[in-house]
Amino acid sequence: MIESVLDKAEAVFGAWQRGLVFESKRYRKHSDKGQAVQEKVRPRQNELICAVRDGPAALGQYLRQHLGLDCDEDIGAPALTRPALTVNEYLDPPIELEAELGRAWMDKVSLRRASQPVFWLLCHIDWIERKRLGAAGDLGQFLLLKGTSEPDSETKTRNFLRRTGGIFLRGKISVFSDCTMARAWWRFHLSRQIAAASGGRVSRETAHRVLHANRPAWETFVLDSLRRIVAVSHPRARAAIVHQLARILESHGGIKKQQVRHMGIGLARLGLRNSLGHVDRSALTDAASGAMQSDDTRPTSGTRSTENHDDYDETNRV
Amino acid sequence: MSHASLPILLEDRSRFDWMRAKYEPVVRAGPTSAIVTHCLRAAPSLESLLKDGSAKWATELRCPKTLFCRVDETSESDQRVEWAPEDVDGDLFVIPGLVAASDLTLQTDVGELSPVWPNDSFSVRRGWWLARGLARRTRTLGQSLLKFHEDRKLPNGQMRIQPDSSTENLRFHVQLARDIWPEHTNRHVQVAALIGALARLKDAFASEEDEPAVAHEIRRRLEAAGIPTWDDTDAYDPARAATAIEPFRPSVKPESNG
Repeated sequence: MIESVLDKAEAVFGAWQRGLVFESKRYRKHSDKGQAVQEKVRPRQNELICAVRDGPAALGQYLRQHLGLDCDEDIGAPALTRPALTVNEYLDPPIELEAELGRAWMDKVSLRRASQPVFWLLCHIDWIERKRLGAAGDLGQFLLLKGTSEPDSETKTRNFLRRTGGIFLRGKISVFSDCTMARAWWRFHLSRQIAAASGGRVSRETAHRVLHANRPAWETFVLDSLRRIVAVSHPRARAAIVHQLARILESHGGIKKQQVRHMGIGLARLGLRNSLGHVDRSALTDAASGAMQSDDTRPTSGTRSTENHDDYDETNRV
Repeated sequence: MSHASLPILLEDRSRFDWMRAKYEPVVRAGPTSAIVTHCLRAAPSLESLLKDGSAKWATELRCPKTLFCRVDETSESDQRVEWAPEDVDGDLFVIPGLVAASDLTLQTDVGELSPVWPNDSFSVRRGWWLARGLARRTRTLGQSLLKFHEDRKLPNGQMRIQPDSSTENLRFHVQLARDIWPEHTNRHVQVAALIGALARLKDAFASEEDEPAVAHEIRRRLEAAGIPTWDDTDAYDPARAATAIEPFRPSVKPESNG
């Protein structure tokens, strides 16, 4: 991606997002101040929603204008690997599509860019303008709606911001979980890293299967690395967790976020006084498996969670 | 493997395992590398492990935002660690220490350890942090707060500052006109931007409950220096506050009066 494009967009991205959302934590909805904010925010939301409904050209123009880009400025985003994604493929990419995208983008997207919501929004502008997200006329299904429900403008706007790169209200986790294209890249990247760090115990495909199996478990896995106080950032620690999860997935057909959390805690305790880059793999395995409670090995029912689940909204963050 | 069963020498001496020993690393960090000078004092038993190679200096690099983490080891007390700029975003933490590079026996001299330790000999498994330093950010407080951009629409010589609300961390975007953009790394420009940012600090978060960690750190430093914070709207002086954190440095040495 062209650096000057990123630079321009980054300078205004935060203010643009903030101007589109009513923050119920900051303002009481029925207070004078809250009403005044809603009166400012609602027309902006409607402008965005109309742009989505008007199609790829209108939406591209709207986004370029609000991010300070020229109308014909080349963005240079990494290309999608298929001519056009379906709504289901976009909202919940199957593991094969994640692997396809991951392989294609591996050398084109750095860790730094992949962690930035504005990067993924710029990618979306490129993909939208090239009509890679479905046929004209159904962008709303991709970016605003869920199923057949017709939510209010606040929900549609938040859906848009989450899906196109992540919403500031959800903090660091949003880019890893809410933007499915970013999530695909991260799962592929981590599955490669885990396979390399596992000493042959876990293949890339198996690691990816584990990371793809359950969204709350994925979020827990990432969140424990995002918080620097929890020392499970080292690839060997991640490999130890995924190795155990792979066994559970095979024997029970599913995994649960509590299992990920317990393993993370076990490894964090080990990491307080030990370098996770140096300890024997047996110590990592013991720390991961020993921290699990026996009643947490029951299989989970279903692997798909609703998009607007509150597990890791900022208000509920543990 | 019990984490409480072995002595550990902490830089901040928050544990009293060692009577006189100190671990005093110095970290000098730049944008893509850091030099860690490891320093042990009054720890002959640890020094002998270094000499025989069973213990090594190790520095952990950790960038939470990009999930980047690596541990580099060396036998040399001056250790250079490097990272690719494309692997990190936001804060990168450098955590130095001394690690058991193999299973070893720690044999301490009489009086080296606190009397709480009944033994003077310990079996240590590979990986144990024999000494551990504090985590350091690679960026200064000022660098953490500001992100510079060129703005070709700004008239010559002008600067504009806006809070960044896309991140839960406190940050400001500093836009510089095209003619002064080449000087964005100049310290005077950076301090001027910091003054502007601190003038707008209170706008950047809703209430003291929402105060981000960086703002809290600034507050702590100002209070320690006896300088009014933004809570005191009459007395608060953003120029004083900013230069207390990142002072201007004279570019010309003062003439002597002799």
